[in-house]
Amino acid sequence: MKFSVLQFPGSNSDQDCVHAVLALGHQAEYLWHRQTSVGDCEAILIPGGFSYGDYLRAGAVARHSPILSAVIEFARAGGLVLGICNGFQILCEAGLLPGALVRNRGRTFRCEHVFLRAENRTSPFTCAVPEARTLKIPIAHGEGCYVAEPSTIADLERHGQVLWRYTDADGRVSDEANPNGSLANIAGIGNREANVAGLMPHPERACEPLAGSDDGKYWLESMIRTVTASQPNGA
Amino acid sequence: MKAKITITPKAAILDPQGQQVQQTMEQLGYGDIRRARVGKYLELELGDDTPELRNQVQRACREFLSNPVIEDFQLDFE
Amino acid sequence: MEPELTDDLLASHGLTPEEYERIRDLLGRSPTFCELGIFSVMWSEHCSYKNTKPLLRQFSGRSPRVLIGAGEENAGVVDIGDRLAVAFKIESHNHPSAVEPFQGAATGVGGILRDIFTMGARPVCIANSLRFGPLDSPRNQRLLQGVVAGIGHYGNCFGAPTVAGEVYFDPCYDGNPLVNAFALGVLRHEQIARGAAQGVGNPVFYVGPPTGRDGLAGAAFASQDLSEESATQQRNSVQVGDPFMEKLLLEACLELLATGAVTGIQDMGAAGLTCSTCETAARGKSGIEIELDRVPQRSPDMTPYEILLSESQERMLLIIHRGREAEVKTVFDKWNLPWAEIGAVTDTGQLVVRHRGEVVADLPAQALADEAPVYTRTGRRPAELERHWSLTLDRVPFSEPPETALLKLLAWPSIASKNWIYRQYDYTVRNACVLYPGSDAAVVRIKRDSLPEVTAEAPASFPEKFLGLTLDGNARLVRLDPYRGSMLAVAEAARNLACSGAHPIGVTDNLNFGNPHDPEIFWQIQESVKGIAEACAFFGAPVTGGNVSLYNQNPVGAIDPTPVIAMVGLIADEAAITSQWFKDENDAVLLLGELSDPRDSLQGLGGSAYLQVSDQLSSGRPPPVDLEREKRVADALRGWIESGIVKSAHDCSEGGLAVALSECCISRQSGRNTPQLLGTRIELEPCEGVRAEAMLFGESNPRIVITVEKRFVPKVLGQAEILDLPIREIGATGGDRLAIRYGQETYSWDVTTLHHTWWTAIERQLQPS
Repeated sequence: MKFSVLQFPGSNSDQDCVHAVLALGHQAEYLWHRQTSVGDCEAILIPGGFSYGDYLRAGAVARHSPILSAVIEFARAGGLVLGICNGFQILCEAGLLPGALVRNRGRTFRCEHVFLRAENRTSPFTCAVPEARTLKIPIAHGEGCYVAEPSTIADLERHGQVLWRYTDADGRVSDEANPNGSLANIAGIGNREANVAGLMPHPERACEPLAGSDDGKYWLESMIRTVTASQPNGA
Repeated sequence: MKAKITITPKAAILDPQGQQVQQTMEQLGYGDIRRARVGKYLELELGDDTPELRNQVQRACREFLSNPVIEDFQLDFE
Repeated sequence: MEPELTDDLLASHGLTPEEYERIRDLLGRSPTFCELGIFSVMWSEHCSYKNTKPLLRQFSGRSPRVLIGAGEENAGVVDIGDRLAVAFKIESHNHPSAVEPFQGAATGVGGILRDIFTMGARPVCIANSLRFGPLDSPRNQRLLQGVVAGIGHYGNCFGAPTVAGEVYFDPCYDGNPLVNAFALGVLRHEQIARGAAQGVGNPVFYVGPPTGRDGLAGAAFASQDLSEESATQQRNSVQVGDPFMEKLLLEACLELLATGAVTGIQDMGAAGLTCSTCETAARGKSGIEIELDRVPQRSPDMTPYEILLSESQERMLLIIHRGREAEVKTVFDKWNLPWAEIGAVTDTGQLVVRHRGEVVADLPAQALADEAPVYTRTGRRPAELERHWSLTLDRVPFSEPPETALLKLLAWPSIASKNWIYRQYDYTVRNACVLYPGSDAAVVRIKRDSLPEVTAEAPASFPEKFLGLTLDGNARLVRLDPYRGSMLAVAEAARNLACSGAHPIGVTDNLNFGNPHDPEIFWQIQESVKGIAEACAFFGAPVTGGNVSLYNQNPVGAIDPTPVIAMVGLIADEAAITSQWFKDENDAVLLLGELSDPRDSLQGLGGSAYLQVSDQLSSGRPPPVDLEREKRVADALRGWIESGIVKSAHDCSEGGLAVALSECCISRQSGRNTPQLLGTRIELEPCEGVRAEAMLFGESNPRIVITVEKRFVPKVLGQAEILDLPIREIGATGGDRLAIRYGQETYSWDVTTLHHTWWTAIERQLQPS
């Protein structure tokens, strides 16, 4: 299966995404921000980093880039799009996902391994996660506090769009386990159609035991399973 | 013409920078500081004043310079 | 308009009347104001090492691995096999960080990263060594917060993981913090780029953002004592870093280097345009002519003096093969970076600068770069050393009993966990770091995308490689004995690498000292350099470059002499990567090395953290160092590690055996708020005349705590006997207490308490409740 990884000036996890896809034995190629088409890829990863320096607001400039119009079109046609960290911020700015990400509660940048629980194991981004498993994934962000109107949060909960929540090592949701102040411990969400998702933690940096955890492979494996299952000749 | 734009976090949104400013000012003894909000300020130098230009800047504030989910803006021309 | 060249003007440029005469002799005329500015920075200590050059010659760069040695280029380059190499270097940004901690530290990181990619290497990790005054002062708290935020801001945004570091807090750094930044990059042998201007007629390009009045003459500022006046002056021209711009500059430079259009490349760091043009011309044994009117400028009215000496960040000088200019345009336009052709290479040997049709400088490049005056000063042993060396144990009050002393030591910021600091650094980006901050050395892997090319299709043509990295420098020991203390710094670095499974392959050092005009300080520099040079040669770790930062003093006095050793090592394979923390219950705990050093009348307590914390004593002669034994211990340890039987290895340094054992019990972390604590029960045989405090907290060396499965103990002990190495089984892992029995006494602590004390100490100091 072929993934495309967007490259904005200032992206810095683009190579990490490609590395993770290749490590799982699949294909990946870069899409430069000035391109106007996503080509023949089967899923898109929007990587972390500081697109265009993130000077105005994280993701604010990237959403107006030529490639993002193509990504929006791809998503409208049902293509799978996963935004990680800065990619999540871009998807929110672009209106593909509701809500916004603001400065961490503790004000400082946080880099550490957190524990996540996949809340809805039927989505194209979570379907490969084994039941009752707490996932260990690193975070590395300064603006990862997820906020939205209470009605939006209620909507997300009602439609199973909250895909990942910050928990402790035993899978319990608590304020202690929340690294950035996100509402309802939300680490990542999906859209109503379930083909676009974003999260602050970095699964692509946790795809090999050597990296301290290989739980991140479930993200890619879920997407791969979904895409291959939808292909006419099966797989 | 000049546009002066003030962008502030929405009242309901957590503003850790503002909180820190408020706490620190209180600690430093600057008196009765009840609340601080930290936002940003932009200044645009524009061409001649036309209703169309004003509209465009207004639109930019809404669609690009601020994020309506988390921020309010105030736009003044002079 | 030309100002008159008065003695005051010379003094404000850091030039002595003698140096001015030397300039006149060289030129056969008086320099212009602009030329004076150029000399002042090129002949500053920062650029010319005029006070330390003869000493630095003692460093041996000899090793078959060294591809680019010290002083040849912007950074040394060392072979790591399979036609791959690493470029690494450390550099200080002390004075700018004292003035504006956030930007000072950020631009320090930016500068060292440019040194690395100027070599054609892709930076794969960064590290830092920091020193601050005590955290009970709000000013020092702000400095720490600002510096850490600045380093994080730059590295995180640029996208290079900050994987290692060391931090000490001591009153001597009050008002003069130290910020030393290290970076390491990877490249193939054939990708090494040179900073030489060659080929007459080749065009000279300026790339990067426009020049402003930032950090005017920062190199000269870094070469004088830090005073309120100099700081105010500097505050008006603080350099501001833009990591986003640097990331673009990196990608654009690597892309352009891959085309082969570049013949020379040099970053504009200290003394900006001046230093980069002089140095490239001097290395190429050529000349350069530039037109300042073509240099992109941020403000319209900049004088030639300002343009030449500006230290605006994220700029590069490129020498391009004539006829290939279009490729520069293509690549830099792609990355949306400003560029300008500003001049050409000549064969005159002169640096010629034109501004609005007039020649404003016409100077011999070689003389500027290489013929700065060299001073051989005389050193004098500080009188206070006699007093310190005469300290005897009967004069130590031992105010703190072992039970509380351990808790105090673990809460002492120089020993406490640095998680409050490193959690603000992205150490996971690039999927590179495989042993995270918090162990003896960080381990970074070199994989296909570590290299300058970024094509996803390129086949993996080499096995992944693993590098160990550590920074060390206990300044208290260096002050109390510069020669011995500096050797100890190198020995500790080598020991830290060995504990992680790494073989040393190279060193870069940062020498932070006070004012060299003071004979006692000059003596510290002399002795320290001698110690570093001897120890590095002994460990076969060539010094491939570094940085000298002098004049680190405030009105009260000089800092403790602070040489920082950054040592890089190579690990045989993935299986040999070893961490410091205990792994499983019921493993045997062994101590490699002597329990106590019989040669040392202070029983390892001279200059120790215990004396400092318990009795506020920063005195005594540091423990003896035995390089021969250090090497044999490290070799044996690596042998056991490579044979797969060592589960953990941790060396004893500050705080001695008790702190080392504590860290083995409490430093493992499986994730946020999830320490994996494991206790141990230790029995130490009685040593005649050695008191408990010395046994627990003495810092004699080399000593390494290792764990192995119990069944391997006879094998390890047997091999150690053959190798004639002291080793003993001292206990076993298990339970939830650290219990140490020495003689009749048993000291015991709950590991949860130890962990909490150690893990939260810095945060508690920063947020007084």
